[in-house]
Amino acid sequence: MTIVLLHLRILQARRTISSVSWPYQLFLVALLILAITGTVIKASQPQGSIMLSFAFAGIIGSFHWFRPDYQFLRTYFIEYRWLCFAEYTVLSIPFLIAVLMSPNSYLALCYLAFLLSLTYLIKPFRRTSGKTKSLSFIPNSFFEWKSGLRKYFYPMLTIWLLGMLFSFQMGVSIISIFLLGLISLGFYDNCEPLSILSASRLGQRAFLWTRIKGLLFASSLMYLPLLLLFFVFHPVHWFIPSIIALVVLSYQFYALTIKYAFYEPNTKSSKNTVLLSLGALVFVLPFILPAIWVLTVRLYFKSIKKLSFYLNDYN
Amino acid sequence: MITINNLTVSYGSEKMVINNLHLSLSSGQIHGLVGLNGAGKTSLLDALHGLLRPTSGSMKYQERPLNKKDISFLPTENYFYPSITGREYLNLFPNTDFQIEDWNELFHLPLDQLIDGYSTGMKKKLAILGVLKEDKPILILDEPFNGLDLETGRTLHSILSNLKSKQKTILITSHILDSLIDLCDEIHYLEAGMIKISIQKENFESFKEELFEKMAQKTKGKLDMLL
Repeated sequence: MTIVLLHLRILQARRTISSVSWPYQLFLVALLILAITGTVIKASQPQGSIMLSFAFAGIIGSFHWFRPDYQFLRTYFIEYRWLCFAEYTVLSIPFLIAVLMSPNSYLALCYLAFLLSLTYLIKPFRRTSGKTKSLSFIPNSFFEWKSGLRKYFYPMLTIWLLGMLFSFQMGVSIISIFLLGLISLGFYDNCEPLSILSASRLGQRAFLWTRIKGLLFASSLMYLPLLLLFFVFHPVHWFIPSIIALVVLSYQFYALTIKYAFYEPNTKSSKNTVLLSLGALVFVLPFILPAIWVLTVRLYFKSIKKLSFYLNDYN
Repeated sequence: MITINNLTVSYGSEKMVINNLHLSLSSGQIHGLVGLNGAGKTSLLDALHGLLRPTSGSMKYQERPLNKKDISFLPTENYFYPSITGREYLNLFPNTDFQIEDWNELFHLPLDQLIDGYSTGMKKKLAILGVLKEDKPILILDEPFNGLDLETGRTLHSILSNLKSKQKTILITSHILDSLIDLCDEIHYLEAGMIKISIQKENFESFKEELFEKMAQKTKGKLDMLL
């Protein structure tokens, strides 16, 4: 069963990659090589391998937390936990090899223990919290944030409050911003129905700007208090959370433009998923940020073109 | 036989969705489960399949605790991995005796095409094929007729009747009362997380009339006001 599922995952990945045009494929291959090289180099340094372990643990942890097929696996396969573990181990092979060759090879064992406990102890998030009234301050036109916050209200509130309360500890605010950004990335996964798009009665440019303003508004609301408290407690290191916030925000803009550049009503395109995961490398390799900016500008114009098919009559 | 005693399921500490429920489901019979939206049908099925942990009570099959290994479960909405074909989906279910091609003659699915291009009805058919491939003694089907065309609806009807004769225990929920009346040996009416009444086949028609009459009375006053 494990082999069948892993084989299926490889087939899925191959088909999804082949669904994007060749420049993106090339870019993806280049980024993958870069990521693997970066992983090997980082892992060879004692401090780097520890950081890398946390980064991989965070990525796989969030993947587990948000995985959409968990209920399906639980329904049909008794060994669903083992299936998850096998999948995460395969995904971590480059990291495991790199860390095994490093001076901190014991981290590989710790990491596997983490994966095991993750699959056996942590149940991915499923139920919505339905916080309707407390989110009424968010305008209806920012529906991605409204629905996303409603879905992940408690985890996000907990992270935000912890970030605020322990902001005197330098790392806490940074991790909070990073985690909040990571969770909110999923808000742009699904394309809304056409009726929501046309309900705005705006032309393509105006519509896209409303979405961008919405993203800025919601993100500022979320990050600014955390940033301000950080500046108060750690004024010398003001640039650290600012850079993290910039990376997260850039990625959110990137996700937004991807959504509309390949907009299909009521769908979650696999093309979107591959481009989003491609951009997610920015969290591991922040120096590719300029590439994300270039892509965002390109995708912005593509979004305008795509949306004009649906919204041109409102111009 | 499945025996459910004093089953209670709650979400958190307040919301009780199944309330001290008792139910017996005989083998070799098709049981229907009806109730209004929010009555607790899906929660009951989830609890039976182990997707929801009961707060209290017991669920037994052949005098031993109910085990996931005995149950094939069809949820209302099935998950399908993107970018895989129908055949690849079916290959996830390990049963080498199941002849996919032969079964597909009943469902007419383009098994070598990606599921992403399937219609809602086709996806439902594929999910049903998956459940049939599992071939377990208990079948729990949540709204199996949703999205099916007339022909496949009849085919599913025949399949279930056939499985019943093989002594399988079958539990179905549906909002289409007629499809249950046509198929089931017993219908259980669920209200506020409790089985209000269990009806035998000979009383189905009178139950239907009574239920519809009650509903009509409920809406009449409101409609008079609105229209």
